[in-house]
Amino acid sequence: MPQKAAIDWSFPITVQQMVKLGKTSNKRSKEGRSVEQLLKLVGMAGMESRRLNQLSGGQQQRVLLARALIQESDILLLDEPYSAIDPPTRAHLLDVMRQQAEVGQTLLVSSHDWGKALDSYDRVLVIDRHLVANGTPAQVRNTIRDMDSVMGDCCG
Amino acid sequence: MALMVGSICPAAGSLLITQRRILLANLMAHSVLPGLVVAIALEVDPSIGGLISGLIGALVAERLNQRFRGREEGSMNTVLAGFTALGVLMVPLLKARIDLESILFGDILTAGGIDLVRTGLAALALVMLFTTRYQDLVFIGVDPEGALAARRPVSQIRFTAIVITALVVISAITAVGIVLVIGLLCAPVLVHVERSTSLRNLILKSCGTGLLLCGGGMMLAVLLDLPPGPLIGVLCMVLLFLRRP
Repeated sequence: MPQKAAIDWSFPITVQQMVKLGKTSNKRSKEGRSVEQLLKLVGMAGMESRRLNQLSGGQQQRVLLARALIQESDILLLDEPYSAIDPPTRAHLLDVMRQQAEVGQTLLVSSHDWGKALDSYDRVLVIDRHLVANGTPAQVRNTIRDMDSVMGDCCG
Repeated sequence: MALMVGSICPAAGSLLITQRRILLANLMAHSVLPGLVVAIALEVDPSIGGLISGLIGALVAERLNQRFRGREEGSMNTVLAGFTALGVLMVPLLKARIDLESILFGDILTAGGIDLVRTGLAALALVMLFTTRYQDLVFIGVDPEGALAARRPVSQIRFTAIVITALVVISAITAVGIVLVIGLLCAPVLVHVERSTSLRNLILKSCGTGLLLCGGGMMLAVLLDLPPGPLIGVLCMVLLFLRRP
């Protein structure tokens, strides 16, 4: 899942076509859920025929997540999935990612702003030029409790 | 001939505008001039000289873009002007017997069978690109980094698109000339790009508009006894004002 800035949102393409592109990016993908099922999962049901530039920032992020999920790959890399989105969308995306983890998919998420979401992950690596902490959320909190400049409000 | 040019230019333009490479296309349109002059002076097919020269122009621009990163528009426009100037200079230098005005602004009345074949070949190349690489063209347009990461043949497709653009430009010379072809590449696409729901949809709508523009422009030119190339160029601009916001 790329950063939002990497996408040309004005390109003439609908939500449905955009999600289908995920299959192009992984030729070995297994037959899995349909575009409609995935859009329902990410809270975008009924928006299949909308153009990308008619969507809000949060909806665009959901489309990118659906495009990543349609690949049905074992490991998903998510680059800054929470950038420029509202708290309800953030909570929804986190919920979907949690469900994927529960069915056995590995998710690697990079973010500079963890906020309260830190506890949603099984393992956390904190990198500030070099590896600062590595472990469960609780272990990471203990390791870098006094490093507010790195972790923001997650340890508050 | 005008109708064929009216459909292939917007088809190529749809690709170039959605991939944000229209400036490169304009540069190539001007870069074909030195090659055309050399080919005519050497009495070989001008389209071969134009194609080679157009590709050299694109390669020079890509090279300079790396040197002037972040200021690409400036370097590309300088190359565009440089190649046009080089072409103009070559006419007296090679003592070529060329009607420069008809190359720059078109003269459809001089179009012959070879021009029709050339345009047909450009149309065939475009159709083949769209039918065999459609999904990749969409992927590269909407998410170029993603297409690279997915190991799509981005460089090859972009190079093929550049070659086909050069072919389309050369085909359009007799109808609208190398200066005005950019209007046909852009205007029919711009009026539809915001309301099209797919690249295919955009190509079809743009081709239809391009056909009307060229057909209408030709008829108007005959009625008013004006040169068709410049008239079509003006109609392209008027079209943008007619589009409802």
